[in-house]
Amino acid sequence: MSSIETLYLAFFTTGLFVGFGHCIGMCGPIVVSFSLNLKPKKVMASNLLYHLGRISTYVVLGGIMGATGTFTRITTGIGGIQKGVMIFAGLVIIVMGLGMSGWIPMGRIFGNYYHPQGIISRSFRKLSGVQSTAAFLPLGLLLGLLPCGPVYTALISAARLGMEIQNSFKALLAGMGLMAAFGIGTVPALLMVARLTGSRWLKSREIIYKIGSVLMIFVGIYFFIKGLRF
Amino acid sequence: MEKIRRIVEGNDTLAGKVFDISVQSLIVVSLISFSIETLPHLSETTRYILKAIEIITVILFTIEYLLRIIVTQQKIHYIFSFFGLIDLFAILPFYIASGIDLRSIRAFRLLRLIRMFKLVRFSRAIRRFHKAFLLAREELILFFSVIILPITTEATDHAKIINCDVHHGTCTRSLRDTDVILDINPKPVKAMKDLNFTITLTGKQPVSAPYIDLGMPGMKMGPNRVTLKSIGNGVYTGSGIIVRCPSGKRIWEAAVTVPDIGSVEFIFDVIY
Repeated sequence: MSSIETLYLAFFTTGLFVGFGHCIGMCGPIVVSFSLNLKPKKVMASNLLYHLGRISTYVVLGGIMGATGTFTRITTGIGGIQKGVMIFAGLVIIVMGLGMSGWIPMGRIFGNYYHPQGIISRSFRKLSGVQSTAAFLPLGLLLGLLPCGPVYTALISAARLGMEIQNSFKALLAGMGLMAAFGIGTVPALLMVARLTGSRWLKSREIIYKIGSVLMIFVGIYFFIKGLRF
Repeated sequence: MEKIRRIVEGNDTLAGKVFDISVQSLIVVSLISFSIETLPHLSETTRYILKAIEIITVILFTIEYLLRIIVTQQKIHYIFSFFGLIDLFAILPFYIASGIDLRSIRAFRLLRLIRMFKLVRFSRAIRRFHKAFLLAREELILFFSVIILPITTEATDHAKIINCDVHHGTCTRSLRDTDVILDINPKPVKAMKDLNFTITLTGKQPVSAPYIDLGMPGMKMGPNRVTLKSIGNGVYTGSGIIVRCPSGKRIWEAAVTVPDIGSVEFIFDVIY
């Protein structure tokens, strides 16, 4: 096995490892929020699309870092976007939580009975609504930009790889491969969380919705505030 | 067989009642001895007696467990039932602990408190709790798993104390006969910036250059290694980046490994 393949393998296992620890804690709430709102049949497909989007973003970032061989300049460049994404994610989770709780008169926004009227709610549903499973791909693409320690750490390695490889096309591919390996590694843990929260026995409980919605609102506020401070 | 079953499972015969009461007393004795064991400054004799009590209770509990498996008609059902698992966990820690040395894991001993749940079988009031627990099981599991997560991350965060001020000057830690001096530039040390790491080693130099692993205490983020190159006189330099954690936690750890000698940890805060 060549050294680059060993590196991919190392980052795949890093992804696995980090997934079950770090990701469940930090990014789990997002997955939980979506899964609680989905019909059981759609949970897997939607989640896979979300992860596909997320990993695509990682791969693009990895490619850029690999090709340019720099980490700091690019992260400084996208810092503002990341801040925005974090605030956006916070807002999405808060609105989903509010909708799920049934406290605001629009009913369960993402439930099966919801028929949006306003432009904002309609576009909002288009973006993260459950009715269309395909919407999870762009959502993943966007939320892949969420600032995250392990992703940064993997990107540093991609940039370092780029510095070592002189041919910039090869460096681009290496960076992309590394981030793909890392991203795929993080999927099993998050799918497991989705599977658990998406399962029927959890959803059949009205009280789960209540507890879940309160938690989601808190998590959303947390993301929002951290985003503002970022 | 039928007779033993009536004794073990029922309480309508005298022998059955005696069996139940004996098991209950045994649980109480075991719990009391556990409580005594937690007291400080116990004499050798007391400890010896407690140890003996522990061994005897475990043996009797094991016999009880095996008896219950033998007499029940639905063996698999019993083994994986609430009480079956409680009965197993009441004795399992003892056997595991006698196999491997688990004294370091003090919390492991707390597992003995599971024996308390063995009493559930005999109390109507507690049985009601058990029923209530079964009804609310899903909610409780979700609730506790959500609660435990932030608690564990918060708790581990403060486990390590800053031992180095990288913003003003260098930090020194000793490793056997060598002093390891860490310096990070430019100062103040900020995350998401290209940083220069310098390690100076006094005394005997290692065969190959040391390296630094960056991470956050209690928060695994994957490998972030700074490789260093010797520039002579025991000075090694390399470049690396400390990433920013969106949670806002700022305590970082630099584990410096000197090949063939060992490693030291510098814990410091960075500016975001």
